[in-house]
Amino acid sequence: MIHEQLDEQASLYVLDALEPEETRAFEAQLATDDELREHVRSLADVAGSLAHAAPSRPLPSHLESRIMHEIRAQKPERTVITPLRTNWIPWAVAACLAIACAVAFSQRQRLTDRLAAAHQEAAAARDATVAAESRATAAQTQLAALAKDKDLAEQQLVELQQREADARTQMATLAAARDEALDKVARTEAREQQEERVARQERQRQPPAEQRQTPAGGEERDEFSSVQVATLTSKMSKAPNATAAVVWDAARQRGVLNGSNMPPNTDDRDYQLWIVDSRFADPVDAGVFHVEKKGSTRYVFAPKIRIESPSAFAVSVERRGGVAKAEGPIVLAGK
Amino acid sequence: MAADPSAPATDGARTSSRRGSRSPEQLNQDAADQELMRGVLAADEAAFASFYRRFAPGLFSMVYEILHDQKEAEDVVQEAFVQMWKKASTYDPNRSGLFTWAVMISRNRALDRLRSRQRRGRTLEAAAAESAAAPIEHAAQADELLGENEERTRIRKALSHLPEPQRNAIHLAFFRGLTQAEISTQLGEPLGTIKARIRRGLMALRNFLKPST
Repeated sequence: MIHEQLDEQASLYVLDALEPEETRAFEAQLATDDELREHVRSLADVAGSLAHAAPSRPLPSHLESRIMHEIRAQKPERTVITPLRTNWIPWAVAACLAIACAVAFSQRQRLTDRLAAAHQEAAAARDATVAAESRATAAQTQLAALAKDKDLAEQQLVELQQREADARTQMATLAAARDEALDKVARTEAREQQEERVARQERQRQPPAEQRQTPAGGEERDEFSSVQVATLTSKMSKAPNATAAVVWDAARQRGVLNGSNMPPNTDDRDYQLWIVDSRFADPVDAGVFHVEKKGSTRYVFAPKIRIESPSAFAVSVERRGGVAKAEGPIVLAGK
Repeated sequence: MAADPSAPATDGARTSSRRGSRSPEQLNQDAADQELMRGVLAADEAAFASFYRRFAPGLFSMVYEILHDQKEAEDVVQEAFVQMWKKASTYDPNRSGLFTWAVMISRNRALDRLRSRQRRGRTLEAAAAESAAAPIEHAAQADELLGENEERTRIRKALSHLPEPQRNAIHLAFFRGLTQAEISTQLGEPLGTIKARIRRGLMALRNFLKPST
């Protein structure tokens, strides 16, 4: 027996007048209720007969040929209708759907979790990348600053090394001069002691007072007067600061030249020292010396010809090994 | 009818029990339908041509009543018959008669076309209102020109016995494709009233159409 409410729903169902949710619920019930299904079948035919309620409309004559032409191009789909005596199919379908839904929900949950984890990892990776880029930028800035500082320090080091070399040269020059002076003092003291011994012996022999003083004082004056110092200045436009000091000991016929800021010689050139003595027409060769790097130079010389009264000293640039008579340009000169 | 008319049949076992509740005329009609469908299922074009000639006039009139457009009605009927040809194996005699199956396929396509047209902004309110107001009278005038059909006469006679509110509610559901809630809104009547009108109308129609023994 179909109760009134279900009958109402069946009537609306065969006219497609139920709402979608009501249709689904009704069909679920229809799948399990034979009596209801039979009732719906009878109502469906009544609904189908409503088509005859439409005003008659002449059927276009060409429509049949159109349709027949089209179906010849259409392959009919034929499925075998298998009678089934049980009602387990709806339940089986429902069970399959339920299982499929459960599996799909589970997979969706897993995929959602994995997606969230992937988002977190991506965010962390992005943060790490940003931090690393920031650190790399800072390191590059520091590196550039350090490279600049290193260049500056190297430049300062070269200057300090140059100053140290100059200072060492000056110290060597001063030490040589000190040694010479000490040597002279020692010789003078020895001579004075010798003269004092001679004077003591002569006093013992009562020599006259004026003869005891004159020889010692005069010899001392001759000893110092034999040393001559000359300052040589630059004649080079490219090295105007080059200078040299020449100390000449006429008694020993030897001298020393201390040069400063003299340009280095090329491999095929030497500096050659000349002494100007009025007794000779040409300057006297005092030997060659070679300067390998700019700085201080010390050259001890002893001319082969005896020099009596040097009036000037000069330095020229000559071919390697020197020449007998000056040929090259005079680069230093002085009295 | 909410059930998809082209859905595969699954319950052929109860054919015999259904036959037990049908009249001899209906059983004869069922047998003729099944014979016709056997030919269609065998892809027999001659059988399908017979099928077309038997059902096309009623289906075309129904589709035209829904669309009120000759060209669209022809297109829809053509699409519907092609679908019936391709999906003939989905017809289940336990669910409905053959004509009902053909009606539901054609009606669904016509209503889809109508909704598509309404979405495009075209409206046939005037034509629909006119047909909803007096479908039976118009049908009768047309039939005078086309010649009478026994089944059509029987349906229209049955409909003419229905109170107008029931007839209008059924017409809006069948030819306009409106749901019960939409009919309620359109007629300004409570939903329960609409449900009752449709139920009572269909029950009355079934009684009118029941063959006399």
